[in-house]
Amino acid sequence: MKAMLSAFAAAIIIAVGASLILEEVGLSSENTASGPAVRLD
Amino acid sequence: MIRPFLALVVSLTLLMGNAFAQEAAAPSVDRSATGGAQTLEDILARQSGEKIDDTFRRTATGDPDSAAGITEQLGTLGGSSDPELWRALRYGSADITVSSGDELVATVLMQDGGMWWLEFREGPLMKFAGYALVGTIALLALFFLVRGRVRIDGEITGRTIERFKAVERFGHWLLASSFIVLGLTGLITLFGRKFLIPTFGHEAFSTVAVASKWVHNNISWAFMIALVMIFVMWVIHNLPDRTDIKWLLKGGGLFGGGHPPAKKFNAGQKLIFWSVIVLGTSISLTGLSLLFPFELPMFAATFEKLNATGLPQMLGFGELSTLLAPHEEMQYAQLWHALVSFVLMAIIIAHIYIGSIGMEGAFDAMGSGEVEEQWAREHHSLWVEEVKAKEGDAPKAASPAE
Repeated sequence: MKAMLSAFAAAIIIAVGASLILEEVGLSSENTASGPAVRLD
Repeated sequence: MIRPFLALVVSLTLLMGNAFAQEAAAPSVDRSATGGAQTLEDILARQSGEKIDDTFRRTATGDPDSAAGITEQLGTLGGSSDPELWRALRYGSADITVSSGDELVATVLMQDGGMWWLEFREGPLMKFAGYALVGTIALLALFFLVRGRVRIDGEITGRTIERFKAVERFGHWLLASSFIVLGLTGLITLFGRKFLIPTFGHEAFSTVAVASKWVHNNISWAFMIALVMIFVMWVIHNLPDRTDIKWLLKGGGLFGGGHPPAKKFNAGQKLIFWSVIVLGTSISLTGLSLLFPFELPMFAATFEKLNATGLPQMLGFGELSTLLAPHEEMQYAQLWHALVSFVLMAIIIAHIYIGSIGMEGAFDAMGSGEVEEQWAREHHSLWVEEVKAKEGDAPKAASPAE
């Protein structure tokens, strides 16, 4: 069961990590599909 | 499994039919009464969804060559009236420059290709999803009622054999958990507008939709990593061999007639493995195309290769269009992503069934990694022999002198 639970944890860590990394390297949709003339918030 | 595949073929036929039937030419119409503009008949035909030849409008976008001189009246219009300019925008032939996006996105301001996509997505695609998932569950329930749980026939030995190492089970559960989450969040995305909004309201669904989109986009990386892990670890055991033919001819022993011999993976498991690899890769590629919109177009190139094989023409789809607008690429990516996902979901539901309630002793393989020896002898007899032979060959640990 340890392998199963650590896989579940890894899936969550990878998801959060992917989000942070993509945001960090400037690949958020805000960065790629919008310009300075667009107000999103 | 035949039903989902048939449904896929029918759906694809509808998809392709919709996309390519628009080429059919309509008989010429007398428009002298309107000076060449569209007539009441044209408008009524369009509104009732009939296919019309719109060349007379599509090409009426002005003529810069016969424009009045720049100092003359209307000369600044450059030979195109306002309606002609709007027609050029509507049919995607105007010269466009916009401030956001880039040349990949912003070359088409109005595209009506979205309508067939929307209709297909909310019609045949949802129906296909329903048939594939509910149909598979119903078939499995029927199978369970008729066949019952596949029990261990022989006497339980109490001895176990290690079937999967921790890293193999980790890879399996990483793939499994991410796939289930992706499946559920994908279903929320597809069925949200039609079923969840009417039930829970816009506000509640908005929160759920935003959350499920975040989860779907990001947990996809866990799925792709696990897919590679699984492929690397198990491909060697999943190459087809002669035992598979015997196994398949005996129906895997599911309907009686004894257990056919099998190695580490039997033919049924090999089919699951290759389905996961092939369909999972296809889902991943289209998923990446959707994750990075307009950056990874792949359908025009795929259609070109398919056309070269002559297969679409042979199947009656005609030559597939290789000139796809960026938005059309995204639409095809979304539809293919969903269609293939539903086929894989149906297969995985069957896999979950046989690995849990469907077969006694099967879950242990992925639970603890240790399986009952009798179970292993019945379902993977050749593999047990291999393991035992290796154990026999292995040098015994030196025991200290007593």
